[in-house]
Amino acid sequence: MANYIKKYWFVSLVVVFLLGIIGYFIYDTNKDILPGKTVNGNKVVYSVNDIDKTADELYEDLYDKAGISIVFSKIQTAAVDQAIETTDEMKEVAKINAANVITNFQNQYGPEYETQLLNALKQLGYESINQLEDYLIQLQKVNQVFSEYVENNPDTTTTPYMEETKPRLVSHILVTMADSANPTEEELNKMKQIEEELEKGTDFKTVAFEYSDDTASATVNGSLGVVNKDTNFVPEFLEAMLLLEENEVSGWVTTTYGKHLIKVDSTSLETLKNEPGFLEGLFGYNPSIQSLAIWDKIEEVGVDFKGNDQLRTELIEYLGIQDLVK
Amino acid sequence: MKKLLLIIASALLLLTGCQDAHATVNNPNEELVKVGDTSITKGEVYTNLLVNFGSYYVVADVTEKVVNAEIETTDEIEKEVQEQIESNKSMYGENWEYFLNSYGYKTEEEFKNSIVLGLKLNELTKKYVYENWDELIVQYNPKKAIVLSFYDADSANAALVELKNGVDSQEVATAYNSNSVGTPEIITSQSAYSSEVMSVINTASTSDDYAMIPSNDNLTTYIIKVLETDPNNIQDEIATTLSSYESIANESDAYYFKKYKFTIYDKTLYDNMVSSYSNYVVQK
Repeated sequence: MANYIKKYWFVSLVVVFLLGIIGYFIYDTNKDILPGKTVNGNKVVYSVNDIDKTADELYEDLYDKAGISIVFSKIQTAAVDQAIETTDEMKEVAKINAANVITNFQNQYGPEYETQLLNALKQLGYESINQLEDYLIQLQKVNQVFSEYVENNPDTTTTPYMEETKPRLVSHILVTMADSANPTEEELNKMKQIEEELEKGTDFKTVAFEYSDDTASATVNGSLGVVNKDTNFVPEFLEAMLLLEENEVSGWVTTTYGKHLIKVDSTSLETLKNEPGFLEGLFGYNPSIQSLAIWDKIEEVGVDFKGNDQLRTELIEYLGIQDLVK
Repeated sequence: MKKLLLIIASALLLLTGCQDAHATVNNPNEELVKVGDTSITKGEVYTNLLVNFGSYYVVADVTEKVVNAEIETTDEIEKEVQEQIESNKSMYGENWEYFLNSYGYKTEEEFKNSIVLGLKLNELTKKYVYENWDELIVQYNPKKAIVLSFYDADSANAALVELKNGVDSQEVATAYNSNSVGTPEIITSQSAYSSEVMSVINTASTSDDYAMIPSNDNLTTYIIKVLETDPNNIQDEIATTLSSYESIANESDAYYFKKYKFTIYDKTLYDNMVSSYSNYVVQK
């Protein structure tokens, strides 16, 4: 060996040098690597005071606390993905919404926005920021499940909702007053001007746009959207509104804001169901509808609990529909 | 030559074989549920649970083990716990069960255990202060003193006369509208008093009478009396004050986590802890 090294001293030098480089490279690559631990064939997640917590033990503890919510989330995603096709329109909407989400995160978190967005997505079961659009497509699909369920089950959804809460599409024209009981001359003149415009046939929407002191609704021709008897409006307004039929306009209604002319634009389900806020109102009235819609879709796609009836029971209880499904 | 080539090849293999550890459950491919043609496995559910709840649970679990190893549940703690429970029950009345559920407690026993843990954690931080007494005394230089402050110089002058006549400092503070309540307090290098006040506190002796000083901007007048400068005479008060500091609570947590050799063997948990609970990541 010694003779070999002596004879090929330069090659030996190069080899030693290369081995040194390799050795340092191995050390540098591995020095920050987290070592694992296995005990009796079980992987250890952490230890304290030399007592190990294995992955299986941690799984049992975490599952006890929050497992059912994770399982449900995964079941819902799987069912909805298989039941509802991803359309080009959904992709387009998701792309636009994703840009808005990113802008919001940038405004809120600055340079840290990517970390925060990734954390938020991980909590929803996704692994990278590239899956943001997937999540937003999923949201659209879930909303479609809700809409379809409502459409297919009117007897248990929209019918009782329409009968009990009387939702309608409502507009108004407001004349703001400091003291509604004692309007000033200026305020009275404005009321008269509004009455004259309506009497000569000017459209309620146009008059609202031109004259209403409620600037938010005036920009949309006086529309307040879908309102029902439980909407958080002052009682005088709700009382007057509920007395009106479709296309009727009230007399001047006095509230703490001033005086209103109220118009019911529609009481028809066909019109209301396409308005923003209608479904939210329906779900607020009957929160179990969303759970039933998802459960219905899960059963339609087909679910096998692998003989674990306990899991099925826990899921139904988690959804709060134990009295509504078999 | 062949041996040499073998050595180099083995070294290169070593490079590719090493990666961060991920502790997985046994049977990660065990199917929990099948929805249509999609399987949901134990491994997937475990990964989600670990990401969403793992680090919070681990910190709570290790804290509980450390606290129970270091601090006994004394009669005093039991009494305090019972008082807190009775007070909450009285406040919430019929809504007691709702209150428990809304805060995530399944039973009253769980709620009781969380109070016990909280009280023992306070005691643990105090214990840390006592165990590192000399170093912390040098760092925080605590004194016991009374500080009153006034925007109105006439009020300050009148208050000073009363104080020198032996009237209680809290009564004087109330009577002359002091901005502080006039109770004796532990003041340290972390206290939020101005440099003029701290200068008096750090140089005065207990035999000095009440001192009156203006602030640098002349907008405030302070009256100061140092009551105790020897930290060994006010140990419990100093320990209570220092243990309330977030910086010391964090030091204490890290100290005990290290003492009990808390070690993480899973890369996902490790990264989450570094991101959200870096103070508790004590391994090298």
